[in-house]
Amino acid sequence: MKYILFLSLVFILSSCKYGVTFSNLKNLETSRNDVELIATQELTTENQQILKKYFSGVKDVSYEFLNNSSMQNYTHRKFSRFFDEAICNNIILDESYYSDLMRKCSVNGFFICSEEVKLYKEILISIKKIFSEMEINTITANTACKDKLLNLGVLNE
Amino acid sequence: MNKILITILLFTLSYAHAEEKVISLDEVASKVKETNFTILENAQRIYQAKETITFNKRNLLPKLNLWNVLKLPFDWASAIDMVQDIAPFLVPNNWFRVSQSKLFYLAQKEQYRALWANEVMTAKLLYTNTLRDQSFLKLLKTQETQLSELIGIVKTRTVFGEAPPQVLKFLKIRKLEIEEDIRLLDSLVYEEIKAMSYLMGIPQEIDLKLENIVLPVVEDLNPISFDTFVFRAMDNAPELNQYAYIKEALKYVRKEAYFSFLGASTTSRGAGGGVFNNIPLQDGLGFGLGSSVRITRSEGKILDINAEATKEVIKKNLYNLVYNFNSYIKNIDNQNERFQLAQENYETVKTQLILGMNVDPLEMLTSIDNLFDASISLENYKYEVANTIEKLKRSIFNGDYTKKEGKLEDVTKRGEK
Repeated sequence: MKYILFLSLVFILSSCKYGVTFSNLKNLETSRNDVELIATQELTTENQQILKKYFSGVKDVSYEFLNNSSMQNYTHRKFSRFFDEAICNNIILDESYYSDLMRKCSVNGFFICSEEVKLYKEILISIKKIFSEMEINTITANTACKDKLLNLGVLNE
Repeated sequence: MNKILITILLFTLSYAHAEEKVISLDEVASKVKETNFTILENAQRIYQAKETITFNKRNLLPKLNLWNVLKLPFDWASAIDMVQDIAPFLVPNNWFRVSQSKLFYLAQKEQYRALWANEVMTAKLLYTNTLRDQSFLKLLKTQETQLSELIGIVKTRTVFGEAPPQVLKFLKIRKLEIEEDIRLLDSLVYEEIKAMSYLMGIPQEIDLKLENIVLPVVEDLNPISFDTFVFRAMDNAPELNQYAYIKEALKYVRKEAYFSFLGASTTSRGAGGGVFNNIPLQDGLGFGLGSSVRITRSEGKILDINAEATKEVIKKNLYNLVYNFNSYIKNIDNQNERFQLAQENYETVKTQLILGMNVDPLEMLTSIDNLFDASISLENYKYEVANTIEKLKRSIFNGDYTKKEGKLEDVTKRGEK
């Protein structure tokens, strides 16, 4: 009995281990929606905060995945649980919105948004590297997602 | 003997022809990073801070102190005292010191970033100011030439009795004044170039030459607003990040106070850790605990006050920069018109003089002075705009000042591999 309890505890603990990171990944959906809502508006300080929230979120989640090999292994094992065709459309910003933002972020040759906005594509390219080809194929099975990633330059033709 | 003479000759010649080095504004940032003395010293401090983390981590492992071991056969109770040697990892305060040294390392890195940006900006501003002074020197020489021409004409007219001799003397006095101005400005340019060499860590023996820069076309620039710039200025300020790290480290000092009953830590907090030296910590649980905790809280308030003051300083500087930038843009037409009118006036008076018309030489002198003032003002204007743009780049960490924050650097580097 004790043995079963111990195993259950280990199982529960291991499943919660990366809970914060995966919940942050899920929260990117809301912050991406917020970014799309303000994409046509002026870049006020409040709107800059909204941009920061999403783009820093992408950076932080990527940092966690890239720097934690056991989390990477866990992700490969539980891939289907966390990643599906919809993930890309839910958390990745459309290229047209991104281009609009980049245009607004450049004023008189100055870049006024946070650095994460400028390096968004580089961050996505980095995180792509942790996924296997099969996993990438699963994500890009959705044509809209594939186009999105192609337009952003994350995927090559 | 001949060989010695040749060697001496070669040695003398090599000194007589000092090595020349041409640098461009784009090279300044990398040069400052590589060879500026203050930057190099600070880079060593970061290295020390990083090594302190390793030291504090290894300090958690058992160590051998022969004298403490020799005490054991005489006093078995002294084995308890040896816990810091045998099992330092059992002392929580040692762990807290490791965490603090990690945070002080990050704070030190932010300090380095601020210092680096300031040194780069100082060097770049000095570069543009030196070019501006060199340009003023050229304008002064042009004024001198124009005055020499006028003196020639007035000399002839004095011979014919058309101009009084005191006018000629007056013009000569003015020319001597300009010659003195040229000498003074030339010395200033020389000093500026030597200061540039020092900032970039280039030996003083090397003759430094500066490449010209493309000045901004002020007419093409649009006004900017404080609100759009303030976010990035605050978001990137290493001065504020530094306070955040130090404040985080303060939490561990409070924990040190609570866990002092399990022994005090003798390891250093690392570079910059001295900031907490005034917080008293007891070696054991005593009645001083309350005071220690209250002092750490007060230290936290001091950090908040300093961070708030730094925020206001950043905002103040940004307000001034944005205001200056916009006022330059607004006034450029005025400057151009002033220069154009002064030039037209000079050409008219000069033509009249050449045609033999009765022009007052003093009127001619006034038109030369007006043209000089307008040229200097316009030239200075363009360089001031270039300097303001540079200062704006520093305050929002653009261009040469772009330095990725730790996590971002890590993530993007992995993508490059």
